[in-house]
Amino acid sequence: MKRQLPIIIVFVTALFVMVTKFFDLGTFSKTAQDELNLWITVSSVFAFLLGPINLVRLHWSNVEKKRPNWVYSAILLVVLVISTIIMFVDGVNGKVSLFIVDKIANRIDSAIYAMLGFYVCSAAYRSFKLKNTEASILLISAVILMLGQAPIGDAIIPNTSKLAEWILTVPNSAGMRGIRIGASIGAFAASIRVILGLERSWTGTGS
Amino acid sequence: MVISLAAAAPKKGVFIFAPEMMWDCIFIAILFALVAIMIQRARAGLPIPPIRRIAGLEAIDEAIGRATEMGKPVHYSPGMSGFAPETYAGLATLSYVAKMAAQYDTRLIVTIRRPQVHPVAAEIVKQAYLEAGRPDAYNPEDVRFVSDWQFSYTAAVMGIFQREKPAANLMIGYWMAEALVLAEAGAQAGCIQIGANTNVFQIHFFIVTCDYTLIGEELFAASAYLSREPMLTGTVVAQDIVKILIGVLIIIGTIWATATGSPAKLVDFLSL
Repeated sequence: MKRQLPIIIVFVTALFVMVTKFFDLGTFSKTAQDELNLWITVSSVFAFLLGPINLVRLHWSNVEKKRPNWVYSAILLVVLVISTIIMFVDGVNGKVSLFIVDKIANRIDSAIYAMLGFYVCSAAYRSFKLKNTEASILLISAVILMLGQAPIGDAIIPNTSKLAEWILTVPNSAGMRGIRIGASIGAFAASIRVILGLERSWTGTGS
Repeated sequence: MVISLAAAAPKKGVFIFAPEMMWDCIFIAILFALVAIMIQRARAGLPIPPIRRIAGLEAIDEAIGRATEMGKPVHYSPGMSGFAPETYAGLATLSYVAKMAAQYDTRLIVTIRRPQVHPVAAEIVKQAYLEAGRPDAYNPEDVRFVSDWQFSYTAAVMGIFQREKPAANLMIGYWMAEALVLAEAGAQAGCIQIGANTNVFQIHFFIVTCDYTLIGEELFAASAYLSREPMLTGTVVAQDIVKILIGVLIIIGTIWATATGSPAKLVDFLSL
């Protein structure tokens, strides 16, 4: 039953969603989809509790057993408790709560995102080596594109910007669309495997 | 819910096909029919065309073997999305990786971004250790929910790379802007890396940073490829037939548009 019940629920829900999408049932389709979205939200909120429980258990264990770097786990637990109390007392849209989210959490998030700039350079350095034919094509295309984006490109070699635009709009777009079409059909097939119960590993009951 | 749905229920005789969904429906119906045919063939013991060799999936064994030889852990993540097709594919691969890790007695660290995915991933790993005959080796603390925030998750996984120094990093799922940050952090930690993504704006980062990359649909073929089960392989063959069909339609469309000089007519025809 542990294996079959989730598969039955998925099959019935998928069938219901397909019928509401493929048939014009007037307001019924929209109402049904709104209801299902509400169910997704409610079940996600329940599932959201499971994550922090795992997080607290792991870091509590780190502190309790004094594992290496346990101090960071202690800081995480203290911050988690303080911010939870503030959110409960002040409300999620309260002044202090918004300060924590906007001025602390979002700022740290942006800092991590900004590291992308440095990593692009190191990734480019590693990949722009003439190792084989593919790497050579990548290098030549990248050089043309970089020159094409800068005013100096056309000054060095005339029409570089036009060539760069052609690379972007023709071979690049064609490749991206090909990957997209393949991935979409793959997602369809993967969904059918899940709906029909051929793919069962996600039930956690063995392959 | 029942009351609101009953109030919105259509009157008798209004069940008509939604015209804007016609082509979607036709392709899904073809795919369903082909999958059914392939399942029948597999059940009847008839031959199913083999899947071509996918280097990224072949390398999973090599990556876990390397981690075992070095005595270091393997890091695995099923991506950033909730229960999307990419996550299902990532979880199916996790099942295989966990079984291999259990057999080789290699530590497996799984990091999860979405809280709803965590219990499923934990069950999969636990079951894999059980199937490998090593339930005692399963450590629930190694299947970790990290954070729901995209870059908090990224920072935490980068920290894991630096502290735990895994020998292999498998990122099989849907990835966004964190793809390059994580893959570069993994490369700097000396991991052998296998990445899989369907996001066309991020795949190239995996291609330049990872040792092996599963591009687009290769991710969805993973479970069939690794299990070698004829019924699952059949669904991949069905998906390839649909792809050929779409390819033929694209060629016909190109010829039509070139010959008539007006792609609008074709678009009008397909929008019937």
